[in-house]
Amino acid sequence: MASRIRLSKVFSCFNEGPAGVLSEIEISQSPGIPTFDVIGLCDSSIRESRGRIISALNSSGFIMPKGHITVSISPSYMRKSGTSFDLPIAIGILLVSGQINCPPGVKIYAEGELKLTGETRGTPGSAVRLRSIDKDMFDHIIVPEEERESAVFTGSDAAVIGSLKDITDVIAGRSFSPLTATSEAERNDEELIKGNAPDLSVLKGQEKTKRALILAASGFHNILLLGSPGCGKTLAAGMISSIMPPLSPEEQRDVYALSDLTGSASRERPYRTIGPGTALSKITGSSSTLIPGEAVLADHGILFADEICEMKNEVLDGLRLPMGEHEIRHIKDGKVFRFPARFLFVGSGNPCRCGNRFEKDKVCRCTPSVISRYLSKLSGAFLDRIDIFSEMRSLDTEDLKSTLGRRTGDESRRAQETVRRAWDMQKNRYSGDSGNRFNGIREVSSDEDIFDIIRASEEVREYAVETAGRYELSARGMTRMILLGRTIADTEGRQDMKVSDIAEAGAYRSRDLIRR
Amino acid sequence: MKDIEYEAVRFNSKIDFKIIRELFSKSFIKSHRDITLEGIGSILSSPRKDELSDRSFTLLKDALMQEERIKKAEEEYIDSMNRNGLYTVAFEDKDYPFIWRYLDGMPRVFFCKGKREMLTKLHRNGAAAIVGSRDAGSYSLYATSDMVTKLTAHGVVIVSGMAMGIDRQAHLKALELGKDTIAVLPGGADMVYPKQNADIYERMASKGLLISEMPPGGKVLKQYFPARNRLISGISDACLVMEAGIYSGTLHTASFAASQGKDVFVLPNNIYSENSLGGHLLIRDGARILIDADEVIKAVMEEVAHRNDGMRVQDKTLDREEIQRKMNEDPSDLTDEELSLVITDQLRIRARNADELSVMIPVPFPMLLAKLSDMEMKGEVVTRRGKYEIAVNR
Repeated sequence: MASRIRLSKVFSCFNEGPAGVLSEIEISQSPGIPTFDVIGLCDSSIRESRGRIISALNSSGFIMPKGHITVSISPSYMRKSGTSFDLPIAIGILLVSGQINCPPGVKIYAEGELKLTGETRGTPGSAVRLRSIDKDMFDHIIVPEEERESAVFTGSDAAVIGSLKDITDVIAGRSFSPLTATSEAERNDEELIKGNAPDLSVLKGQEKTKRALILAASGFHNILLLGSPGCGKTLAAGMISSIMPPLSPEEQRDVYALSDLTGSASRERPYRTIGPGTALSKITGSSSTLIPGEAVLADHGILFADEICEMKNEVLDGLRLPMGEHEIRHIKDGKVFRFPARFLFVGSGNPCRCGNRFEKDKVCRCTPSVISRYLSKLSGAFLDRIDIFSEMRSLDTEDLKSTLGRRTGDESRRAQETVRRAWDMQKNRYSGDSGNRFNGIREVSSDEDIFDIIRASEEVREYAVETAGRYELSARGMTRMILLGRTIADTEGRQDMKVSDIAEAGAYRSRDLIRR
Repeated sequence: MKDIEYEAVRFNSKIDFKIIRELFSKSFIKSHRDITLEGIGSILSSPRKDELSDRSFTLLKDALMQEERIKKAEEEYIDSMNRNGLYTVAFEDKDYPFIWRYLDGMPRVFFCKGKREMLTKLHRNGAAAIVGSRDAGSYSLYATSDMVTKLTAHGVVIVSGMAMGIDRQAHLKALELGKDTIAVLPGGADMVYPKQNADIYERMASKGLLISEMPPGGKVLKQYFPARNRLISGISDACLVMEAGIYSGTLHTASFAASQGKDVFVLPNNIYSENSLGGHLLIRDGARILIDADEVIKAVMEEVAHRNDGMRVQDKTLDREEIQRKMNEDPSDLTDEELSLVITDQLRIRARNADELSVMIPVPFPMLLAKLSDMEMKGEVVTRRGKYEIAVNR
């Protein structure tokens, strides 16, 4: 055969669950009747790229080369989808047809969708992809303008282009829009954290709830608030993130990458709400598309379950695993995908059907059997994972009056200092473990001695065991109580635990909630 | 002396319990002895006076306008007390009835005539209120004498209202036996009411004790009876209803006793006896039936034991005044034991949740919660419906 087959290679990446898989795009051109084949278990979103690519090439002043064109996207045994292959395929075609030139051995990474006009467009999941690639491997990293923020976040030294036309400049190394680290990413932390949350002092007269919120924030402990309708449960839940220090850059990257998978990227501490209408698959995410659910999107943030007593049993049971393990696993094609779910769980609901069970002036008309039926959704196994339980009451008109017009951020600010102190303590203690930075999220495996980790004296140990016996706690219940006690000590910056830490932690266990 | 001035202010101005409670809760005053003409003056000129409700402010001011009247009344009281041999007992006194300290709305000062040691005996031996109709049947009167004999044999102090009928019979029998008895009078302690009881009045004054919350010379009005009845039940550990018609004031005493958490015993009678219907209805509503004096004695002794239990803790190491001082100045100074006592005191009044307790006891919240949890673990308190209660078996 006299005909010469020409080849070119461009790198790109596609999402598989929480990770990105590097892929090599090979393009071959050989003389013959014009064809365009894309191979490598691609779905129709990739095969359709042909139309976009041809039009974009023409609109940008290039031409679509004649002959057989075969595009092979590796690894070929993995199913892939998404339109982010448009740009690398187009670049490969330009290279193979000699419309742009670059020295052999130069490695190009590109991703992005193309419009028919030749302009580029970003696609969801860019942060995950850019994060997973080894940036030093490539000579050029080319991303669309819309993925600028992802590129900055992941520290990629990328060329950001607005249109396919710019590609010649990039390859020639002439000029392209350089990334500056001082773009939007460096938005003021203060601004991010302030938000519109009211000050903690609006929860006047609800000392237990206030303290509970601070402890929950300090150690990422699962918390349950039960109280009458309108007593401020949602308000209280919303205040938790306002008493937390801002996200660290590393956490911001995590949050950004995960939220970007759904197409709406965010850098703020997540606050995801689920309710009785939310299906379980929306909470855990789907194992076929591997798009993260609410529990994963709440990573590093707050997962607020409103009206928890009205939720379906399967949803509550489904929440149990992520609440304990802080991870969601999906199995697809025999592979296990692990999504982080290090959220702070906040549940809220009515304490009985009429809602007045904990009220001061109103009378609860629910009989014990009605109450136990109403709360039967909250199984023992579920409550076992609740470290902090606090009942709430409506504020008196007196209380309300005195809170009006007093919105100084003082109490929240002081609470934030406490939380920060606790975080620092935990960071130092758990510096060896990756990810398990908080007492409430720590998974204690059976071969570890919980008391060794948390530095408790003999006296504290005995007291904890005695308390657990008295309150009839399970082994998990006891462990979680001790970890909450550890958090209490951390908020005071104490290395060693005291008996009173355990005693206070015990007061938050929800043992009297249901009497069967 | 301040006690008498307090009484003079209270009975000659519009200052009522509501205002006094407000003054205590907003810590304008630490003792009722601060409510004197001078004391009111300093409250009204204090920088925190804006915290007072409008009503209290106006009425306190009114009180000062009554200065002459109050001073005159005070002189009259002192004069009358000297003439009739009366004396006052106040909240601050050691022998102030222990149970009254924990009940709402009991007088902080009251007037007495007779043997003061009755108050100590009341505390140590327990007391039973014996109340009933003014025109009682012979069966009830016989039962009254019998019960008084059996109860006093165990040292129980007999408390009644020195009315005709059952009351008279109860006091009379106790005096005859030379045992302890206390009469709570509806008017001033120097007023003999009703006149027919003039004979026992004299004997009570020398062998027993007469007490009243009304000032000397206070006329007896019908509307004072229910108020007097609450003191009768308040001072006793059990209440015996010997005979009560359906509209009888005795029923007041019984219902006060029940709401103060005391056992109410009702003497069963002939169901066709109109004058016993009120008592029978009490039985139907759950009052205990009076068959055996031993049951009454047991009920009284339980109360006494419970009380002494609390007292022992108190006597041993804890000084309530010291605790009060710490509460006002720096509550974090309270020792563990003191904090327990303060919490128990609050919970004795009624069950409360942690938030309410934190309003009453201004220690740091985590400290309070840890203490509560510790007490719960030790079985001293229990939680029910989100509130802490004193454990029953204590």
